[in-house]
Amino acid sequence: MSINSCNEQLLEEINHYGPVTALKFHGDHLLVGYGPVLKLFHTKKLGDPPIWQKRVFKRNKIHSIAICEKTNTLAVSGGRSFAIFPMESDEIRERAINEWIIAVEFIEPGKVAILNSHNVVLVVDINILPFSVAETVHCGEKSILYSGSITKTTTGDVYVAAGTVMDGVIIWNLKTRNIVHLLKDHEGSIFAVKIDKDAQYIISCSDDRSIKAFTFSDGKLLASGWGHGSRIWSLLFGKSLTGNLQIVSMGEDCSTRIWNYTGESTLQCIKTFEHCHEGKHIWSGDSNYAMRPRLATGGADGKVRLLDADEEYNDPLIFEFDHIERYGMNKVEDNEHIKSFASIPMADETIVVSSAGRVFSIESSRSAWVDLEISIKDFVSLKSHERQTAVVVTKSGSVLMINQGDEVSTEWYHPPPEKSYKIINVLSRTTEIEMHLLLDSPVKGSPFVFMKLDVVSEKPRVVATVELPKPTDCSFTPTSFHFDSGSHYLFVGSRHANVAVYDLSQTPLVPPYLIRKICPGDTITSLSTVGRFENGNTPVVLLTVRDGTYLYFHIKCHEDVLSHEIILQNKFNKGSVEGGFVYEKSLLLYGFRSSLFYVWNETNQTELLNEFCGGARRHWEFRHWFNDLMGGAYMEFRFINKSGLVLKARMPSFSLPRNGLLANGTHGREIRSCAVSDYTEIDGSKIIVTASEDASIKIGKIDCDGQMECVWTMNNHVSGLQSVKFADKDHFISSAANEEMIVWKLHRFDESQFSAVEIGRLPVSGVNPDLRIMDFSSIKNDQGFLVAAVFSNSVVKLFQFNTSTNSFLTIGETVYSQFCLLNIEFLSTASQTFVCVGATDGNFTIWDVTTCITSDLNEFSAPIVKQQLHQSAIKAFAIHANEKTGTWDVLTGGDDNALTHSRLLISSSGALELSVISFVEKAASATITGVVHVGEQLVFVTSVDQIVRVWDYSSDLKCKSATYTTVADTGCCAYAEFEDSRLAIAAGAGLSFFSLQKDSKIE
Amino acid sequence: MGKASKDKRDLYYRRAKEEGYRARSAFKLLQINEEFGIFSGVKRVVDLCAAPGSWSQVLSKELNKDTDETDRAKIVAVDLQPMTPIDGVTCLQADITHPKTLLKILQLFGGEPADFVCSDGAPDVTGLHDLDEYIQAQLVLCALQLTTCILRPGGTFVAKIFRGRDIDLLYSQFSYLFESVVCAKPRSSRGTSLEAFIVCQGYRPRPNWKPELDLTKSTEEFFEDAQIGKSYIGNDMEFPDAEERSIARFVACGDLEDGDSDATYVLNTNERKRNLEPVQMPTAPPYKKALELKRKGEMQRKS
Ligand SMILES: C[S@@+](CC[C@H](N)C(=O)[O-])C[C@H]1O[C@@H](n2cnc3c(N)ncnc32)[C@H](O)[C@@H]1O
Repeated sequence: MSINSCNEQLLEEINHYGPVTALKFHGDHLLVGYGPVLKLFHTKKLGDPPIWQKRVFKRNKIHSIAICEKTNTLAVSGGRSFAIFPMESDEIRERAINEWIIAVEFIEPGKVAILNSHNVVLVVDINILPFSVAETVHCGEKSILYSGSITKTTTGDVYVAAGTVMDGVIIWNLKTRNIVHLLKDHEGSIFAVKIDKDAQYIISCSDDRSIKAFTFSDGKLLASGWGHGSRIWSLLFGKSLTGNLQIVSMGEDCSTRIWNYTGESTLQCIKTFEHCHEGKHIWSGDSNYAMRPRLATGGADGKVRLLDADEEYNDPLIFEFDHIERYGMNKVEDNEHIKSFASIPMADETIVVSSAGRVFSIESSRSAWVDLEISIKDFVSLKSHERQTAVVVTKSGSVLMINQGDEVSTEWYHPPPEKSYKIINVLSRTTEIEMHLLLDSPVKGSPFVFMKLDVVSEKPRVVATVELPKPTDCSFTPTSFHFDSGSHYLFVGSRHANVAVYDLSQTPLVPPYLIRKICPGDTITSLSTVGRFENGNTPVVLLTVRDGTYLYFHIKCHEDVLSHEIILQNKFNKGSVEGGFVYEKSLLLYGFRSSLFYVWNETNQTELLNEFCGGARRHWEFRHWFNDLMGGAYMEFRFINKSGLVLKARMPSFSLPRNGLLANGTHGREIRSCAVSDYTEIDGSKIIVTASEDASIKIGKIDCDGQMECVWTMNNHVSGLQSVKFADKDHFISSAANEEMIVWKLHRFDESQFSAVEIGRLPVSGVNPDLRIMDFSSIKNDQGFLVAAVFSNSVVKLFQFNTSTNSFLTIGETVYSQFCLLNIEFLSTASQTFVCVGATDGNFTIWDVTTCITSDLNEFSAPIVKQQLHQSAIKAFAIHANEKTGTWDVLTGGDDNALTHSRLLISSSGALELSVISFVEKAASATITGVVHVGEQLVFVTSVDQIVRVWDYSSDLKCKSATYTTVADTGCCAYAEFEDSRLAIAAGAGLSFFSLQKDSKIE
Repeated sequence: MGKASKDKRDLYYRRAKEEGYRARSAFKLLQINEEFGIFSGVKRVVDLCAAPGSWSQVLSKELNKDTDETDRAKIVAVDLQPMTPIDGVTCLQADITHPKTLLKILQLFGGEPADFVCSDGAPDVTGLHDLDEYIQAQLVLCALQLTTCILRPGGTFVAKIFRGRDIDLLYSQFSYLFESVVCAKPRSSRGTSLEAFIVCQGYRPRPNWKPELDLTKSTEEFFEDAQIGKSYIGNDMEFPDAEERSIARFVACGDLEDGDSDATYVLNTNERKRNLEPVQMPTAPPYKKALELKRKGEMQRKS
């Protein structure tokens, strides 16, 4: 029985998330190379599972896909493997050649060409079985290749474009074997090279981070483009409006860029999709200009995205004030211009107030201006509702309601004359059927005026006005507000991150509950209800702050006294946040980043869109609404610049919030630790936390089929994560470099939603926080948690974390030696508490820490067990109590490929004894990185050789099952037990789920 | 220090500075030698993938310890990157995956065999693990190719490997060619890295196989008749079901007292300052121009 493969049926990989290494459009469908699995998606059905998925290779990842449209046959390759099969076939036979395959292509219906990494093409005859190599062809230059492609041109010639490691690009003719061009313009290895079907151009990119275009006929360099911040992995031919050469590029920096060749020596970058994927690397892409969508990208994060690359979407509509002349109107002042605007998108109208106080409406699609023949004096603000209403507010608090029904009608509302308001600022919010206004005046002692307008009746009308006493003894400049009609709470956010909460159900109105400085940052930019706490009716409110902090909080009311609790706090760091909202389970944020306006899906960690606007604007508006007619969510962004009012609209084909996300994924960097909660949620799922080397933590849910949904990506850590573990149902802890250790609290609300918030953080001990907290362990106690942690400077520390003060208190400490400590677990009996520690020197050490816990003694006593179990680092271990024998089983996995089973015995006198029961020197062919207990005398073990194994330790260690995982850099593992299934999880460069089958037959 | 970065200036980095080595890698070779005594009796060495040159420095120092001027060891160092000259070391700037380079090295030795071949080669990793592992394995195979052409029977070969998914294939192939094949992990090599060294002692040329450099053959083709358990795919292109794999013995090397490259040590402030400049010489990366454009703000985001 091989240690690499045995009883694979007991350890079935049921799902994985990992790098997307190949993509190919096929009409309305997209073929996706997902590790060794080929999946077919429908591009018009976002969110649907794949139509089919087939495992085409045993181990290798798919790197290249070709389709013969005539015969509906597929050819896929990856590593040394390839397979050729009819699209519908489930009988796929993996074949191989002796070298790495760079590209495959059909050159005739019955012939497939395979380009290998030595610039040799094997022509395979697939008409007769078994396949055979019809020809082995080379051009005489056997350089080592990094990239390459095979192109059959419209005239029937077949060219090989070879991207070498050292010698530039070689273009050769497959039939004549002649070298057509040797292109030496790049520096460094060539990462992609392509020839278009008409053999007009050659495009290439290299380690020099430039994109180059050449004329095919003479090999002359036409133009270069520079823009990517790191390596470029893929190039595609685009399709420009002018018919000129267009190139699409993508790579390590997760951006996709579109370049036009305009005849000059520099390629023009006309569009950049930033943050298409998370982390690092877009590994694959394909284009299809015959239909929409045009582009697809696949990332290291396991996501597949469709991008709308139509050039015309780039062109904004611009409404200039001078246009009024076309409609027979004249300016009344020389420099009359657009002062303010508000859109009524569902009526396709924009209302404009000019600097002279005139009001116009513009029909957006025709750019037709109409003078509404109203003159506004003391104009303060213009606001609108999506459906059909705009309002103008004047200094005295009068409100002009403009209704864009079948006919335009207008009506004034005036406050009682004795009020004499001096309004300077107006905020507005809209709901389905209402419009809310908050009017602010600077006069001392003056109230806020809250107005509710009904905007769905025949005519808009003011249905309520309420004066709200301002918070006293604090300057309070409102910047956003939100009325929650369910609870009658009105939330007003201000500068300096202050929040005032009014309970409008109270009469008379009492002064607001004031939350001073709810979080770091300054201006609160939005407030909205995102869910409800089940008990009572209180809303969960999303609050965003311009500098990027966002949070969820809710109000508690106890005997008429209000208080609040923050249940989520996170920081967005890719731009200013001007607002946020939740739409179909996704949290969307928008704002400005350098010269762009962006909309970001925080849940999926991808950018939905960005629009060039030249930087943060004073007058701008972002609208989104569901458009039944067009079958999707619509987005519009408007702003005023020098030339006038600029409108950019987005087609609904990319409806919110998925915006082209065809398959979801996980971190775009290596996962260093993962943990699954023991607790099963009411929807049957479990909460999973994954921690990545890029300093992010993801919190999501998994179900018993290994389907994962990431909900939160937390940025609280600033350095690479080391470990994450659950402490109880409601808490988990994470540790990282830079001496970071954070205690998190989970909150559950609504039916099945949850959020997480940092509640405590270990204070940094020295001036230079360069220590890594490698691992920790916790035990729940009366005050909170007892936490033990190991540090990279060989220190072990014991803390009491108090859940009422949310603080750490050091209660014990010792130094092991000079070696880095890697892992720690608590072990407790009725009367004693021990910590067990693994180190890089291969020793397993146990201290009795009972006295640290029960007395004031801070120093650990000498270790009671110190035993070398491995030659070098103990990379992982698991301890499990053995009920039958009253002992503990200790399973350790080492850097030395070995696995040991030791038994820990606690004598009646309290002495400890560790004895090795069984030792397997070659338990893996490379470093063991994870060991987790998965049931009756069984452990699941991961190692960097990409084999996952289950070992039985009931007697001598025995490998019960072993199978390959496509997750590379396999670094950690976890276990999840559901009602009727058990999952083992391996994580590294991706995440894989294995279903553990109970075996009845195998002894 | 930026987000998610880790201080690379560990214990061995500082010792390299102090002892005048160009890279901390020097200690990896020294610790391997401590364990296996591979330097004894060595007079002729090929140091592949040698830049910036700390292994060559170690070799030049250790091999010439007790010799006079006339009897100095012959050391040839090869790398893609230029190398600052080292006394007693012949430097060659070339690609070791190119058969021509191997021919050049053979010429430099003038027909004489070598006692020791080492390679610390590592390609620029892409992040695509299967590709990176393949390229690393190719680099090792190229080094082995040269080794079979130049190493004397009984000689030693040491090469850097990445312990990834197919490393057991390499172990198996090497064990056909050497009496002993061990996977060595020096304590100076980070525990978090997949890096290790394959230490092969006692070269046993394959009976009935004459390694011959043929410029038209790839490395894979070179070994085709060597019978080293490599699975070759025939004209039918059937996927090899079970390839020969084996696991080499693992040996951690270096004195425990030498210290741990994963541990964090306390430094006083003076020490910190003194050590700030890098030991490795900066090389000229292909993306130099891109960096320049970026600095000048001339990268295009959007017209
Ligand atoms: C880790 S460094 C070697 C350090 C060296 N042993 C020392 O102690 O200074 C790896 C080297 O491998 C070289 N290398 C990678 N691929 C190569 C190739 N195909 N031919 C020659 N050198 C190569 C790189 O240029 C790099 O300098």
